[in-house]
Amino acid sequence: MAHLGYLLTALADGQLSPATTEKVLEHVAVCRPCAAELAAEREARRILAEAECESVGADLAARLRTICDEPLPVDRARPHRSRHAAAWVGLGSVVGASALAACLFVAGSPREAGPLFTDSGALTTLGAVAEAPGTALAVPAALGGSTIADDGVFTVTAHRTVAEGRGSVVELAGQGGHVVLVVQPGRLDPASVAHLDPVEVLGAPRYVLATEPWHAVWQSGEDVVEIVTDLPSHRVAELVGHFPADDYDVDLAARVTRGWSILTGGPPR
Amino acid sequence: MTHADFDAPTWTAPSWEQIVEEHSPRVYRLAYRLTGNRHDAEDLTQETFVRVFRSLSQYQPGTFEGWLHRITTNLFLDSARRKSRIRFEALGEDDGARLVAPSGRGNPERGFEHANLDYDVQAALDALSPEYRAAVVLCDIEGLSYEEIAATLGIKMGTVRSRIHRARAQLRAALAHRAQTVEVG
Repeated sequence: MAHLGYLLTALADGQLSPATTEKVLEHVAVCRPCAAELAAEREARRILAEAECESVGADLAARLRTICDEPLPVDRARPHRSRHAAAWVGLGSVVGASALAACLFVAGSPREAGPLFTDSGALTTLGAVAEAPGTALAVPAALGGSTIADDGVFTVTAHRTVAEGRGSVVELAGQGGHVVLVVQPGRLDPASVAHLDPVEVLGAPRYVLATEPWHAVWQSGEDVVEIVTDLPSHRVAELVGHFPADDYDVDLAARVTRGWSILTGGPPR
Repeated sequence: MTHADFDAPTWTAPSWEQIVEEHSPRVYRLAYRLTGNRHDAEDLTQETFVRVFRSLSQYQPGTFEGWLHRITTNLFLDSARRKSRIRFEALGEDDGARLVAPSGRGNPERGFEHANLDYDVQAALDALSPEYRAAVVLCDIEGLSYEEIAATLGIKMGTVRSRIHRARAQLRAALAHRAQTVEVG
């Protein structure tokens, strides 16, 4: 029976600090089970590192080279001159058409986006979420395994796309409140926040449009992120601060299905 | 518009062919270890490069390999989770507990494919949950530090440590026949 648990794994991986390494090695020097454990860890690591793997086939190599010749699919191409009016009508079923601010527009390259909701729209939105949870996309709280350790904090109650499928509105319900998250690809339109002073939340500027409910917008990587929530202020900071500035371009729905805890970096432990 | 016409004042973009040539072997190896078979690895590699191509304008010089790791791994995990969700829904909640990862042992094509490719190592990896597999592959095969793995997977360092520790324990059990050292004590 080894005594050091994951420390031996981390030692075999060279991931301990010099001081901890020294302490662990001191123990290993006088403890046969731990010495055996360490040797076994190193051996497993070696086997994996040395395992042979086939190389890229000629077919695949050819396919990869020609990716740059293919036109971008319409739903991903950007900038993209589009019929935003259609998206507004679609979203109107959630928040009421009058609640929408017409500040999302195409302005050259890349596409610019402002907040999706006006102040009153934010209120209406939260009301709608609280009263009638959507059913557009029911996402199980746990998708198996131990990976979503903090699941249940928020549950996705609805998900819909805006801006012709390139943006997403996700509604979440959890302990203490509701959250409406809007993610649109593009650059934050400076005109839409020109009247606001940026507020630093955990090291990055956010534009707070309202506080009751809290409504803010900011640039996160290649997306414009907007959150409307009635959560208490300390949880808002936590929520916003952990939203990843993710440069990995993938559908928001996929990110959400990984669980809110992963989407946000997880609640404090 | 080209893909490098903004935010890149000092950086000259390599040609697409150069990018593919330089990075595809590594992406493919990672994809192969994650998916466990050639067909899925090729799909994952292609999807990764499609994402790269579409997002080149956002690329910040100096992070290309990390970026590739992140795209490849997260595409894989998203796909694995989608599959798992569909399976759960199809079978009903009560059946979920009995589900195990398909090992591929019964598939002759995969057996043939693995014949010269350390079949047992890949089979041991396939038996891990996708999350454990991703962590240990990034660590042992890609040589990433725990910190880099945490950033790649968007999880905390403590989670990386425990996933690798548990994954390694499962791998050791599965690869016990390979061990050259004698267990003592």
